[in-house]
Formats: sequence, structure tokens, C-alpha cells
Amino acid sequence: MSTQQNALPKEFLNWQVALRLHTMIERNGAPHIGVVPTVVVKRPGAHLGVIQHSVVCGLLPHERLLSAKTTEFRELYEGSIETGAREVYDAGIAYLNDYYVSSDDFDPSCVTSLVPEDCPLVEALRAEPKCSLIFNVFSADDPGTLGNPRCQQLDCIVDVLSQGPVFDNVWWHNTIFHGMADEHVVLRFKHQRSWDTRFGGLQALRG
Amino acid sequence: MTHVEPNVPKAHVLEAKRLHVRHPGVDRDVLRDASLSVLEGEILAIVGPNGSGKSTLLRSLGRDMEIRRGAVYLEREDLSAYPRKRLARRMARLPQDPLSPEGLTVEALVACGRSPHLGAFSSLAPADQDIVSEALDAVEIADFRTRPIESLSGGERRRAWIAMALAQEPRFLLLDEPTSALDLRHQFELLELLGRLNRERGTTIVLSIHDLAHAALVADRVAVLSRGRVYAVGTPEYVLSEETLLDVFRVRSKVELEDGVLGVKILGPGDPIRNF
Repeated sequence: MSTQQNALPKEFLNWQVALRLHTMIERNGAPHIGVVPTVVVKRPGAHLGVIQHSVVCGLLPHERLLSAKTTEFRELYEGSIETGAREVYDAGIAYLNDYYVSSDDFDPSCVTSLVPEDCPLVEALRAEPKCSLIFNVFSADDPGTLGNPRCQQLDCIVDVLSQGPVFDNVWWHNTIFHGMADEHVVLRFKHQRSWDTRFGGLQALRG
Repeated sequence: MTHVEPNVPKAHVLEAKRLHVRHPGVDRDVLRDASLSVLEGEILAIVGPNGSGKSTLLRSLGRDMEIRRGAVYLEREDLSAYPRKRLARRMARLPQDPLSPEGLTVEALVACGRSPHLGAFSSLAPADQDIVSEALDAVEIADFRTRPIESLSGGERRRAWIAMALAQEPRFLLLDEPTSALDLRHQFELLELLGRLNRERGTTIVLSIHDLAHAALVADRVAVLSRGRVYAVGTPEYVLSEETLLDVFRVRSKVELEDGVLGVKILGPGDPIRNF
């Protein structure tokens, strides 16, 4: 897949990076609703023919940084785990305070999520690896640019990953905050096109 | 009660290294990458909410659980390869509700503690008898030596089992919820007894316990478990904080801890500081 052709809108990626920095500095890591999209997948036989599932999504480091960041996540976890999960968590927050700085450091072609392997969403995506991610933020809990009303739809093709460099990166990132998650898979939502409805309209940003 | 001097390094004598443990027939880990080091001569209390893995961690330290990943080391030796009899000489374990055969007397129960020190067909030597008597005296239960276990009160029964553990002459004593089902006085007496054993015999004691005030009273260090992970471990002053109660027990509280006496006032449910 051509990364350039299917890149996320720059404005969206900037917004996501800013939200995550805000999450680390102001919310001690508690996810903002702006990083929790609804995943909509066609599912014949389901009510209205689709299933919906909320996920906490993450940004993947840019390909040139992926391996190094995975190593840093792992070293951070393994260097602190014997002193307890609290210290790992706090070290993770401190680390990520300097992590979400520039959208240029993140893969512009996808977002990711770690989910239990046996959840209905994974079953649906294995049957039909296409979905829409609906990002809604309606001035959730912080006014200003981080919480401006908006609704962004990303149409994606999905890889369900249980190993490999992308899986490792997402898995170790999650481990810092939530511990080792066995029997989970990584969903890699590869962006195809976007729709922005923040002004009440429905216009394709791309495609 | 004893307290660890922070600047005096002590050997890590019993170590759980990144344990993953699950109960048979259950498809999720009760312990998830849990590590814990027990220092020589300390009392370590394991606390946490129901289902956090306290008993499982204690049982894993005593080789009473199958470990899926990770390992436990006793004095740097892999516990899974430790010979059974040798282990019984080094370590005594008391489950929450141990069962004894009907009619077994207190003295006979305590004498069972000598089994790891006896040959295959040998009986108690005079020296063993002395150790049994000392154990009975240590927990102040010698007057009940001829009584059947089932005739004792909960507190007396608990002391009888501890006497059996003492007769093993262990360096390590692992107790699962030793104060549960005891009235307030017997709870306090039991904690006093554990403190005395630790001070006078140098026994390293690890116990799981529900009551945070008891943990603060008896323990040199406290390990807090949350959802199968070790949340934090350290002195009671360091670990038993309002922050911990919010993150792990999900309650807002006012905590005061002075000279090992913990006062906790629960203010209500609360949202954790950390998004675990």
C-alpha cells in the first residue's frame, strides 16, 4: 500500500498527537474520548447488518523509528517491573511526555488497537477486513481546540496481527500501562479515505 | 514490631521472578508477570482486593501452584527442583483453613512438624519431643496438648497449626490470611506472636492479609497486589497511601500512619489516579 496515497489527513494526525500529549500531561494517561473511536464492521445477520465496538486506538511510530521505540518500551517495562506496576506506569507517563511531540514521528497511514483475540470484533474483521472508524468528540471534558465538536470517519482495511514488528510495538506499549496481555491481537487500521462531518456536512477529504 | 532499616542491605532469600500463574481449568492468568523479593529475616505482608492474587502468589512462593511462566528461587535455587524433604525443613506453609484428621490431638498435630527431620521409619527422639514442647510453649497452648484439634476455638486451633509449623524449625513461614475468622483479641495476639517469632527466631515470614492496619502493624514491608500484578512493594509508610487505596481499592480515603499504627478513614468510592 502506498503510504502517501493513503495518508491520514495531516490535520487529523496533528490533532491525535496533541490529544495524546494532553492525555499524558493533564490526565496521567487516562484516554481522552477523542482516541476512542467506534469501529463499524459489516456483519451479515447482525442487527442492521453491522456490529459496533469501541476501541482505544494508538498511533504507530513511523517506520524509521518503529524498532527503536519497541526496544525502548520493552526496556522501560523490564527495567521497572520488579519494583511494581505503579513505578512502571509512572515511568511510562514520564517517557511519553516527550514522545507525542511531532506528527512526523508517527506512521501517517494507520492507527492501531490491542484487543482480546476472542472478541466479536476480531471475528467480524477476520471475516471482512474492512471497517469504518468513527471518531466523535463533542467538547467532552476540555474546552478549546482539544475538545472542539467534530466527527471524523476513517474508512480502513484491517490487518489482524498476532506477531511481527507492529504487533510487538503496540503490545509493549500497552504492557507499560496494563501489564502483559496474553491472547490479544493487534488491529492495524490502514487508512483508505476520510470523511469529516464537523460542520454538519459529509465531505470526503480524500478520494 | 520490627522495621527494616532502609540502608542495611539484606539478602533476597525468596524470589518470585515474573510469575504467570493460572488455576486449572481457567483460561486467564491469576498472576500476570508478578515479581516479588523477600528479604532475609523480614515480615512481608501481601495485601490487595479480593481476587487480586494474594493467596495465589503466596501458594506459588510455597511451591503449591503450577507456574506457567517465570520461576521462584529459594536462596538462589530454583524452587521447582528443590527436594521435597529439604524444602519442608526450610519452609512451613499454613493455608487459610487447614484440615486435620478427626480426633488428632494438639500434641500429635504439632509432632507432625518433625516429620521432615525424621528418617523413614523412625519415631520422635527426646530432642524432637523437646522441640514439640518448645513449640507448644511458644504459642502458649501447652495446656491443650491432649485435646483434639476440633475441640479448640478458632484462635486456639490457629495457634496449634502455627506450633506445628514451628516444630518444623523453618527459616521461612508462609501464612495465608492467618487472622481471618479470629476475634479482635486473637487477631492481635496472633500478630504479636508472629512478631515475636520473627524477632526471637529470625524466621522470615510472608503472609497474605486483608486488613491493611494489621499489615502495617506487623510487617516490615508490604506488597500490594492489583489484578494479578504487584502494584507496589515497600515499607508500610511508602506503600499504604491514599494514592494506593484509590488506584487499587478504588476508594477515596484519609490515611494516617504513625509508629506502625494505620488509621484509614474511607471517604467513598473514587476513580483511580492511574489508568491501569
